[in-house]
Amino acid sequence: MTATPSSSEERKPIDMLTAVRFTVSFGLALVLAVFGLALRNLAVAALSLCPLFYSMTLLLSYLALPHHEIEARRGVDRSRAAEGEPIGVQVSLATQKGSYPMVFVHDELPDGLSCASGDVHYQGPLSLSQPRATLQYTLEGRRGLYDLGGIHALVWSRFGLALTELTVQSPVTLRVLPASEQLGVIPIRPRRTRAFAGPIRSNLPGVGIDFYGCRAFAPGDDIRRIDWRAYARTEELVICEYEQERITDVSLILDARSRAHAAIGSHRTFEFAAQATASLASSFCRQGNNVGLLIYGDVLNWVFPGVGRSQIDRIHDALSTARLANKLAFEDLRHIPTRLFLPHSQLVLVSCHLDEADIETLALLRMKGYSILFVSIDTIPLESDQLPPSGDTALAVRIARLRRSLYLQSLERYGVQVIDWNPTVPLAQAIERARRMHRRMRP
Amino acid sequence: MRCVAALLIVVGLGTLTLEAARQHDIGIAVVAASLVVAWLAAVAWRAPRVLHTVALTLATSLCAVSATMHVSVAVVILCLSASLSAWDLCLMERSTSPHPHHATYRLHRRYILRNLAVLALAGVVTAAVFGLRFSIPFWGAFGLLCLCSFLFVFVFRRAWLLMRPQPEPKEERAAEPPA
Repeated sequence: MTATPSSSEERKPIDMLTAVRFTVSFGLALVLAVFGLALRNLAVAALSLCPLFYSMTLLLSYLALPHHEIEARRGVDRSRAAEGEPIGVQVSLATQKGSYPMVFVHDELPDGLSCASGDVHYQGPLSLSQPRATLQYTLEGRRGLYDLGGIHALVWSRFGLALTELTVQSPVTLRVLPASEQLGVIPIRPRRTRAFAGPIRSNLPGVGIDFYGCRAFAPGDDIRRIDWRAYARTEELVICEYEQERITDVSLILDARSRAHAAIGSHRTFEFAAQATASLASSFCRQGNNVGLLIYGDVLNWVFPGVGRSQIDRIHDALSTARLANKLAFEDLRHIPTRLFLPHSQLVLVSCHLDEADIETLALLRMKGYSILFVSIDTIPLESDQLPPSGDTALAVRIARLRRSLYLQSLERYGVQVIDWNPTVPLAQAIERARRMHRRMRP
Repeated sequence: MRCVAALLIVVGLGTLTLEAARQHDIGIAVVAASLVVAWLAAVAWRAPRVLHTVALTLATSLCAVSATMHVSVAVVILCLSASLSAWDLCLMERSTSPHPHHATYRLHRRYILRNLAVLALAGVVTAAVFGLRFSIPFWGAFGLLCLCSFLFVFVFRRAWLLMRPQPEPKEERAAEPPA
């Protein structure tokens, strides 16, 4: 991707600084000259020559500053990248009319982006005879949407002390997506599935892998499905049925309420939640499900359900700009707009906050017929790492763990499926553990 | 840049302090020593530009007073040149400080060399004028004063008009369509 070349330049306050330097030195020269001549003291008057010489050099070098247009072309090898993936940037600079004896170019990066390799600075001449000056570097950044805007150039005159600063615009927009990991099959059991084949067990008899039940043979049944051993025992024709596997509607809910997240040392729990949501969205979409996303906390940020690769991109784009918000209207989970979700569909809530009101809301949603998977981010290990080891800390950690396990058990009693994720280990590991527990608890 | 500025302050005003102390001008020595300390503190704490300008004004006044008190001409010129150079470096250092040090190293080195060269040349010119040693009558001095003032004002107005940032032209609003 290449930005259109631009040569629009803006004068910077450094010109004002040159004017200030000239004014002060010239003023001092005037004062010394007037003072010396008034006293008829030539020694004092002659002292004015020093600042006068300096100010005149400044003025002449300012007049000698070239004012040609600088053309900048910024190209990036990709405009979307996940966190930790490098983005290659190339900036080429050229001048069309004249030459600059010395320029200092600095491609300013917005907060959140950093230069992983290469250099964002260039020092040297910029002339018509030479090929374009280029800056090559790779960027890495935190999740977000970034506008790479102005390229700052400090321009020097051929001699003297004056310099001026230009800003050359070459806009490029970069989107850093949350890092996502490859997940296995996620154990969900929605009450309603779609008609197409998929990985979700639908609680309906038909073609599948998992055994569902047996029934008496009826005309029209496939004879390959007759259980001949049962026939040998009972002399009755019995058909073995298997559970159908279908795709389903999954609505992901990312909890973006300020009170639900915290900054623990260098970690932001919201970033973990965004990464988990991105991983889950990718996994559900790759399995062929119809996936939507609600970012709950700010405005009603809803990604309409869809399927396929483009839906993964849409969800990741929405997650890249997701931010925490403190809105009174979304303070409690009970204001979740359920009309956005299909009846009896699967809801997946990602949060690291849990209290009695949230448990009550999830229980109500469960009673309405939704199947709920709650991905709970366990922040206690991160928090305990930040505290000094002592008896009080150990007691506080124990109390927090007990409270948390009590809340999670309450949710499980209401039929909410829980994935307890410690963000210091991969999410896939937590899902695998939940899947094993789920298998064990199956009748 | 700040280190070089601090060094220039110490060398320029320090030499003036020592010379004044040697000639038993305790007042000048004390003021110069105080100014060294204050200015170094301003450099160390990256004080606003206005404080550096005030320090330069004080240093220049001190040089003028020292010249009237017959302190060594060479020391006064050295002090004035060094103060002017240090002030310039302090101002320019603040303009390039947002950039990382490794990137601005060559730029700073280039600027420091030019700054020192210009002010050394200014010092040499001033010293050469001092060497002329001629006297001037009252009306001659008055006429020169008027001429200097006129020239200063004329040059300053032209230079200021040239250097000041041009205001951005306002975008003309398109005529609204008739209702």
